[in-house]
Amino acid sequence: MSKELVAKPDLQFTQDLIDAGGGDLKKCYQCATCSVACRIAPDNNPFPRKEMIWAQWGLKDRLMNDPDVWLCHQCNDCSTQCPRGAYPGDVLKAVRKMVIQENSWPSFLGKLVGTPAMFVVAIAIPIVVVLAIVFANKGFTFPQPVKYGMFIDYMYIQVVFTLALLFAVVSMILSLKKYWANLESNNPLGIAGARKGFIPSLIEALGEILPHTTFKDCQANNIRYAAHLMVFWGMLGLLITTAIVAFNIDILHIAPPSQNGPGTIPIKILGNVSAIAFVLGLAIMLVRRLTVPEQAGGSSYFDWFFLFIICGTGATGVLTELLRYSGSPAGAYIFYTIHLMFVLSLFIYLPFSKFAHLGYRTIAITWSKAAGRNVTLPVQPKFVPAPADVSAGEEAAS
Amino acid sequence: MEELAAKGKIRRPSDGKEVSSVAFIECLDEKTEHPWLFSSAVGCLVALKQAQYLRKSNPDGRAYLFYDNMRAPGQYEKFYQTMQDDPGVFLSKGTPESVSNGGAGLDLIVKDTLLGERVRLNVDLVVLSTGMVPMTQDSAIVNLQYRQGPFLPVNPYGFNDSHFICFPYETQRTGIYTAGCVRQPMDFASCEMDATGAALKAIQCVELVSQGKAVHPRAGDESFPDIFITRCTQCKRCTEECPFGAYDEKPDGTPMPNPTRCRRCAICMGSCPERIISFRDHSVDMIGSMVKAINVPDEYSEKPRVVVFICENDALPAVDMAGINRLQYSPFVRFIPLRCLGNINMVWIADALSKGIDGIMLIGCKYGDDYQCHFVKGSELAAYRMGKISETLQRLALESERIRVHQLAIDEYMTIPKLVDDFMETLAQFDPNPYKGF
Repeated sequence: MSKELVAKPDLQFTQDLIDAGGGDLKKCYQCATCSVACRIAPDNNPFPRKEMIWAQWGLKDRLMNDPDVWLCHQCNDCSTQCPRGAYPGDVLKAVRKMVIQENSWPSFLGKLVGTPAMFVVAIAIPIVVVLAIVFANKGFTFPQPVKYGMFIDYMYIQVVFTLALLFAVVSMILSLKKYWANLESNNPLGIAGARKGFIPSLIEALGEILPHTTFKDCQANNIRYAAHLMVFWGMLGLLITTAIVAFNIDILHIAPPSQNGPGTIPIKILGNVSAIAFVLGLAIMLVRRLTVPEQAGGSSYFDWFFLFIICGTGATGVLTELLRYSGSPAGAYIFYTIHLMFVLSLFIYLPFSKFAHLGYRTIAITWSKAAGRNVTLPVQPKFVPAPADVSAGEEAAS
Repeated sequence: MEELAAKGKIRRPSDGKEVSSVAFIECLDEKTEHPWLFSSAVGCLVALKQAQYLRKSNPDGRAYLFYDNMRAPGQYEKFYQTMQDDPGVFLSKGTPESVSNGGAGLDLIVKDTLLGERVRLNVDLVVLSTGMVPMTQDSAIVNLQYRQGPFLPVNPYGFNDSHFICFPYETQRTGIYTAGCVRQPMDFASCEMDATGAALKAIQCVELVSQGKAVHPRAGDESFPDIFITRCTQCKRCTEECPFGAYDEKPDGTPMPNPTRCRRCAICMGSCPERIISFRDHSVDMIGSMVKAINVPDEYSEKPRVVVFICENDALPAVDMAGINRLQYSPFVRFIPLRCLGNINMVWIADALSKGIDGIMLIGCKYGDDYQCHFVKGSELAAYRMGKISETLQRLALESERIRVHQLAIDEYMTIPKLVDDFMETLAQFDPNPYKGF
């Protein structure tokens, strides 16, 4: 109670959150069912209750510097149990979107990705770039047998995509630096005490993120854990595959494994297994989002934009490979082109789309570890009344 | 605030600045020692409504509501939810700590908020919601010519008193019916409904009076208290105890009944030590005869006898319900229904005990601030009279535990067997009443 808040509600911020998918945030009347339901909320200052009233009161500074919104893995247990239908899970999601937009560098790209009206512009950029590459080569000619290196010289891909990735990484690092500085200077949770170094905290955070331990502990919708794990490792596998192939071509000057080569060479197995995990995980996510919205949470434009890109990447990637095996050159080359567009989008919009949660969540968890805001997971769910007490209560009632 | 809002744009009274932020402080009465406890039944809704004025006249307006309890009864819950959804309306529990001049506006500091910390706000206007005070607080309005004074009797909260469950419109002054905020704080719609109810009651009253009958709750009763005035000792108990002020006094102290004020509860019959007040169909003699007619088994048969004087309004129907539900209790009790437990006259107690009856129970309505007695204080008076019974018992050399008074609500019928059996157990500790057989 010693703290004093100078309240200057930012109506526009509240409205932005409402537009970003937190449409029911004003309904909250602070009963704290959400914080009790949440398995992974810390014991002290738990989320999402405090975030709900901060959102209602338009306390932008608080929410923008609140690492807790990233500790939430959105199992939506809070939303299903909310007696008032305020959907705390969706509100936290909207806050996360605002955090990404607020910290993004350059900021206009954050706006571009977050605004539905700008969708056409957002997808036009990669389309134009990839078409430019295609026409800089031989245009839409379909050499046979299907060999993508004959369609577009690998060199173009290397340069453009490496640059795109470099841009994304630099932008992401700049955004995250800003975010980290905000967390450091504002410390909205008022945590004091011993601090751990960045690197040990990061290692601790990665030890939690890579096997998805917290995600798994968020028990309400456990299939999401499996799906996300598949997508995460599938994507990592594909990234490693690409990196190895690029390394082979550029540094060791080994030609890429031909489509006619045996499918059993290790690099191909890694690529294909990763692709299957990636696509399967995405399919589970997509089906659940469409069939059980009450568990998946509301889907805003921001969600769909990212899903569109990542699902497009997966689907066109698999089609490209299948069409190549089926030996239909036109289809294979066209889908290859589209696939390149999607991959480029994935790269350049990494720091601005929902994909950025990769970085922000890591940073927020790292900060929490450094600040000692550890979640002590209960061994059992918090609400399991002992059976003996229940029967005693019934006897007393009767 | 209503006056300010009626002029269109809300402007500050001091300097005419257009108001863009208002803090409403609710439930003030609960934070101070102010007696008007029920203001928030309406106060919160009024504040929400005025917050809506602000939001409609100024899209950037901010309305803050600090309350102890947000109360929006019935359908108003929907209005509350609508206002809660408004991004410019900020609701929080909170206790205002200070208001000071803060440059362009007022600096308001509120503690114990839902935000978990003290909140400092700069607002253009602070609106304090005060409690609702009935019109009848300072002015009697109807100058009653009662010996109790010109005012209508009030409840502990300052509003006109009435039976809060069964007949909210009937005041303790026969022929006067209250409706709306004179009775309790309420909004316009409820006042209208209330007024309809009170008007219907008034029609019944006029109709019954024209037929010479009593009004609610003994509607249709044609008897009147009949006083054998020559034996009156001017003790004034009847004039003091009548809940409806039906008795005025003559200069010499003898009671002067006003039959039109009378509700026929017969509390005066119980109050009179000379037993000179009776009704044509309900008198001290009649009940006395009922007591005397009870068969008392002799002391060797080991069958005790208990008489229960019971109020016919709530307690007797409760016994009925116990019967319908086939609840079992001691067969040794005999019930004598009364118009009101306030009818109880000490002579019946003396009669019963001297006849050899082992114990006497009195069962009436709940009394106190939230009384349920149909005649306001009949059961309370009965309990009071029983508190003074020890003299009679001493004269008869009997234990005071032989008499017990209970308060029973109509929905507590399931407790009747326990009440009776507990009493029988208590009596079993004593010898039988030594007066058996006389």
